[in-house]
Amino acid sequence: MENHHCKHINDLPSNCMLRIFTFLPDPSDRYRCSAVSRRWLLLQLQLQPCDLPEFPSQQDSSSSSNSDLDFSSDAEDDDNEVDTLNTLEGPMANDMRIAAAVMSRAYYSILIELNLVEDFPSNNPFSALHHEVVTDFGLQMISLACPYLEVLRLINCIHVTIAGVVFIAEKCTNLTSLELNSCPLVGDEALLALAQHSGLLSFLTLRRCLLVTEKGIAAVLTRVPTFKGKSVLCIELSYEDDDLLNNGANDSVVEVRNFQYVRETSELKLSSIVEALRMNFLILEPCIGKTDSTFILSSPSKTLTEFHSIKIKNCDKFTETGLTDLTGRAHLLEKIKLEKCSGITTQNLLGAFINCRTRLKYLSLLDCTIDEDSKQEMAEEDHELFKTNAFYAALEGVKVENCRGISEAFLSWIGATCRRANTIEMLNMEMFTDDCLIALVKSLKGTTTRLTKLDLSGCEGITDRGMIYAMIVVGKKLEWLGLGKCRGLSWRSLGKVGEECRRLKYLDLSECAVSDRVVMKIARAGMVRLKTLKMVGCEGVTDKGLGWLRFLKGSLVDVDLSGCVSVSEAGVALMCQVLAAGDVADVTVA
Amino acid sequence: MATIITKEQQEKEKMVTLVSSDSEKFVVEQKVAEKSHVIKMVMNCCGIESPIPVRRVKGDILKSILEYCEKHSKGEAQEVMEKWDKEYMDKAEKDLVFFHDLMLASHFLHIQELVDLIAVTFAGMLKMKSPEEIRQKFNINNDLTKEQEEHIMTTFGWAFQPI
Repeated sequence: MENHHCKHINDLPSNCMLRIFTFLPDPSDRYRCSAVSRRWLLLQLQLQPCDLPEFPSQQDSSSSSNSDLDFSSDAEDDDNEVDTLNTLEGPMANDMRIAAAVMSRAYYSILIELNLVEDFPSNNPFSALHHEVVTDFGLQMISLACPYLEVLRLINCIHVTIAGVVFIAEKCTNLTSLELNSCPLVGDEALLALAQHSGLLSFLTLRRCLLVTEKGIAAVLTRVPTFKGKSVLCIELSYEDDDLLNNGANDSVVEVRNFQYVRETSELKLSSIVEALRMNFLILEPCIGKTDSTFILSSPSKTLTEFHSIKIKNCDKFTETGLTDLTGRAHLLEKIKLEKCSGITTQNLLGAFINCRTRLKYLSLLDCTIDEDSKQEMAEEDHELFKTNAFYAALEGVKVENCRGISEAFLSWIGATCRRANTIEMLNMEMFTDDCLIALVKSLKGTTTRLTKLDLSGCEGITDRGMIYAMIVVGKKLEWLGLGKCRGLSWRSLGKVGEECRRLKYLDLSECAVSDRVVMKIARAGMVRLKTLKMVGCEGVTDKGLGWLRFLKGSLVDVDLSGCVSVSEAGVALMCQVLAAGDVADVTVA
Repeated sequence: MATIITKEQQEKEKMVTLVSSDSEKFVVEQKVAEKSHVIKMVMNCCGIESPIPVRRVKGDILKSILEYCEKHSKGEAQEVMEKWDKEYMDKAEKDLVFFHDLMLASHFLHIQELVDLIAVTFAGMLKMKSPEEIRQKFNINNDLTKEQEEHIMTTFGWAFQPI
């Protein structure tokens, strides 16, 4: 009897359960019931489309009691039938759900957009047999039921093959956008079918489709009229598809324009990219191609007028010629971000900046190793160039982090160009010395400085000399100052920070030689806006110093004292009183 | 009370014999038995002379169901019926197993009014309950994945506020 009792309610047939739920008029009761178990959720989803985030289904009881069916609430269902957007994600992306969706709702006939996003491959080799994933069968159902489909995204659908896409191509002739992301079994024949049937296709994204080759792309590019007249908004190609863009771009009939994103490009494609006249965003990630000579090979007369941003990452072979040539033609370039590029020289950078000096606003160099040899060769000439070209008035943000081999002179030059910059970050730059700082500050002197954020964390080459000068010149407007690990600074310059920087909101003095005296100067300077103060690992700070911070009561909300071994619990208690609204983060007491 | 066994054959109404799964016999008027759509169909095609086996329903359940059918075949005033229904349900819902079997049987026998009556009562048990309370009360395993549960919670968080 007890055993019987254990399972009784789930023994009820679905019809009974549904009947019960129809007598729950309050939606909140329904939602709570849907959170009881899978079956209950499933049943709830079958009930009222208006209330629940349902995936449509009016399954009869026999099929809904099939436990493999899982209609959970992932479909974003707006009741606007025309703009229906549907997404099946993860385990929900499977043939059974597609079938249920297609059969149950009449308005699937006017479904316009469908996203199928699978999880990464399941371990079960039989999952395709059991329709736990999206297969060609599912796509066939979609193609039959949704003749007006316009947007289809297949992401990680590893069981979908050419046949599935061909179904779609043949039946869904209104398709305008197709994304195939990580569908390794889809090949050229699918694109050929699209080229043949989908006359309206104008947006095609291919990522990690290993079987797709230039043959397929070329077919789409040449045969689909909309590709000619309008534009390919986005073609993302993986490095396997080397010649694809060539075929599009070099064909005199086809013009491929408006590339918004081009990723993972290798040598051959670069030449074609340059043909993409209206490209405005370029990301070059792992470019393991041979050289960048392609920039020069391609027709030199053309300019990249809409090219605004460039991000180059992990490009070993991307050298000066490439960068100089690229920037030479992209007059309107506004952002340059170079990450982990080791083939770049100082002169190369300089040339690039000169090329796009009129518009360049953001410069970011991360983990770049500048070629030592050429640096020394060019050193003398550099100095000349540095002197004559310090007029980059547009530069607004500079970030240089963990770069090796950059000469002091070059850093000075960068500093000198930042006349209108509002953010300057020099992180972990050992070469950033007093002279660089002074050069930087000098460029700001006399003008109405806009500099509000200065981050010099990890620049151990800075000493009191540079810092005091800098504080006198730019300190008054600074709102954000990071001096973490600047071990070259003594209490003199840190005290000066306190005297000069009245507008600071954020101050980082971690691992600096902060003493009580410094704290006193900072506290008494009247930084009425200071909210965050970081003093991680400042061993010189004691309770006495913290006592001074009561002057900042009212503005200060966050003080980090971790690793301040000289601070006692009493000091922390005091801080807690000062910080009415804030919290003192992990305080380590010796 | 239901009309059980030894009723005189000379009643005006035709009588029909129903046999439960544990071989208990119930003799009821035809119009009472007709409340069940299924039995009505059986009677239509097989006649009422021979006993009709109701193999899926146990004696005590069938007795209770016939009690309901008999009451509802009399055509009494609505208030009286409602009051009687309420008492009937109060008695039935004390034993969840019995209640559940009653639901199953009435569903099986296609007595829609009774199914609805039970469903309303059942729904009453679910009202204002948290999912956990429901699971405990009916001893249901939570087999929702974390993601599913979170999704429901985040989408309809307001429904899960303490009541």
